[in-house]
Order: sequence, then C-alpha cells, then structure tokens
Amino acid sequence: MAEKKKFKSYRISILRTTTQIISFILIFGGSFGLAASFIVLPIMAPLGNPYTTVAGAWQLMEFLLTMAIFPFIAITVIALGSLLIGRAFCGWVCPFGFISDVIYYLGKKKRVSNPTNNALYKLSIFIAAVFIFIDVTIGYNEYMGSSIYGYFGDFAREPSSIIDPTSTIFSLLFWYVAWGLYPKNVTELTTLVSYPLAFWFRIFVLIIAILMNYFVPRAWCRWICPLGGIMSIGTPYKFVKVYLDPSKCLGPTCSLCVKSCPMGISILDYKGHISNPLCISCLKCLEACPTKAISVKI
Amino acid sequence: MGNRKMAIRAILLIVGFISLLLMIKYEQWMLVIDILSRFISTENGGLPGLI
Repeated sequence: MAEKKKFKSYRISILRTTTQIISFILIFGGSFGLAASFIVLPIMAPLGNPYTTVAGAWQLMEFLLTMAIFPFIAITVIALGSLLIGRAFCGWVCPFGFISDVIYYLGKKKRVSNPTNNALYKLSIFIAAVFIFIDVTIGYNEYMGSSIYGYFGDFAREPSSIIDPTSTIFSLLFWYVAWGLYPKNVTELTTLVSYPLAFWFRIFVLIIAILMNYFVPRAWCRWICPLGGIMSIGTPYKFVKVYLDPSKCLGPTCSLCVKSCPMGISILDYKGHISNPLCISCLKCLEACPTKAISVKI
Repeated sequence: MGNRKMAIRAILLIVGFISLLLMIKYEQWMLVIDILSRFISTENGGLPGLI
C-alpha cells in the first residue's frame, strides 16, 4: 500500500523520465536501424551524428541560414511550438536536458536568487541573437557571392557548435571515438598537445556546462542554451499553461513547489498562470504540491 | 487578456503560419531528410586530423 502511494506521488517524474529515455533512444534511433526522418523538434539534437533521426530546430536553423536558405521549417517549429506548449520539449525530450536531469539528481541543487536567475536567463537570448547575426552574415555573404566562409573555418556552418555541449558530446566526441583518434598507448599521449585549440576549448565548455548543471540544476538550459533563449520569448504566452490556484495554495509556509522547481522559478510570485519564460513544464511543482493547487490548463 | 499578451501571440501565430506555408511551398522537409542522411562534418570543428 505504501509503495503504491509512493509510486503515485512520483508518477509524473516516472512518466517524464520514461519519456526522456524513450525520446533519447528514438532521437539516436539510427543505431538500431531507424531511418532519418523529416521531423524537426525544438530540442538540441546534433546533425553531425550519423544515428540522429530527427533534426534539432536550432542546429537546422543555423545550418540553413549559413547556406543562405531561409529556415522556414525551423521557424515554424520554434514559433508554433513555443506558443503551444512553451519549453516543454526542454523538459521532456531534449537529450541534453535529459543529461542535465541526471546530473541534477547527483548534484548539489543550489538555488540562485530570483533577480539573478531572471537576469541571467536574458544571457541566453543575447547568445542566440549573436549567433543568429553571425549566421545571417555568413548566409548573406554566401548569397552575394563574396563568401566569408573561410574566416570561420570548421565553424562556418554551425558557429554555435563551439559552445554547444550537445554537438560536442554527440558529434565531436562521437567521431573522436568512432574513428579511433584518441591515444591508444602512453607514447601517443604526446599527440594531445598538438590537438587544435578548438578541440580543447569545446571540451572545456562541456566540462563547464556539466559543472554548472552539477551545482545549479539545469543552469546551462536556463542561462546559456540559445534555443531555450528563443523559446522563452513565446513561453509566457503558451496555450497549455501550468496554473496555480491561489485559493488552494498554502503560500510561503509550504514552498514545496519552489524547492522542487529545477529552473529556480519563484512559483509563489504567480497567481494563476505561471507565466515565467523559464518554465519547462516538467510538472515537478504539480507533483510536489500537497494541496493540488497546481494544475495544467488550456 | 492583456494587449501585450495578445500582440505577442498574434505575432508568433502569424510568423508560424507564414513559415508553415512557405515550408510546404519549398518542401523543406526534403532538405531535413537529405541533411540527416548524409555525413555532416560541420559540428566536428576542432576534431584532430579533420583538416
């Protein structure tokens, strides 16, 4: 009986983790014979991994923009996706979100103050704007025939991959291992010194991202992820909302929803629709609420 | 509903639907299949021995 009650109280977390695992397997479904599809999702999914079956909207947008092709398909997914369900794909499907959640369970779960959290999330919008500007510049020059492709070297088609831990794990490190480029014995360790600076920079960024997520839950998704930044513009106005009923809420004496939120949202500041741009609809608040004051509404 | 909320929803809906129509017109999903079916080295910047 007690086990059944425990299962019931964690049913959303179990459902979400199951969805994340299934999505992770399907996103890299090429490894067990799934063919590449035409599906584009608002997640960080690398194009460079041979087993990827769906395209990440951000990566696809960058790839097409730099080739002077207007990315209508990515814009459709981002605009309509954020308006319909906000950043729910971050919480339920994104492969790096899943990795972040695993780190979150092992990590320190520190909270940052509300003003800091709200200020730092704007950094992700700034990062997105900078990379879109670079993409459009490369694309425009490509279109005009005066290519500046060479100036960006390996990063000309997806400039943001230099700071994107998803493509570092699933493309850079994947090929590094698949092609056996790693040192195979002690004498080959000296070759590590001759690696390109970009390689070490990307590894450094990956370690920073993991450490950030270890100390502050989903810190990368909150403050750096460029796709998250763009999606957060439409998220407060989404149609499928997480709703707080003030008449049922116990207020600051309880605060279980605030403590459980991996995005550090001050849920109690909201009366009604929790219209925070960071909300990833993970429903941990709904699960934690003892009075069922939080619900999902359309 | 606030004016700001309605305006942003309207903008996103208009942008989304125009993009949807143009995506259908230019059959961009074929591009996605093509991109995912071939080897993309653009995310391998910094890979030792790439150049």
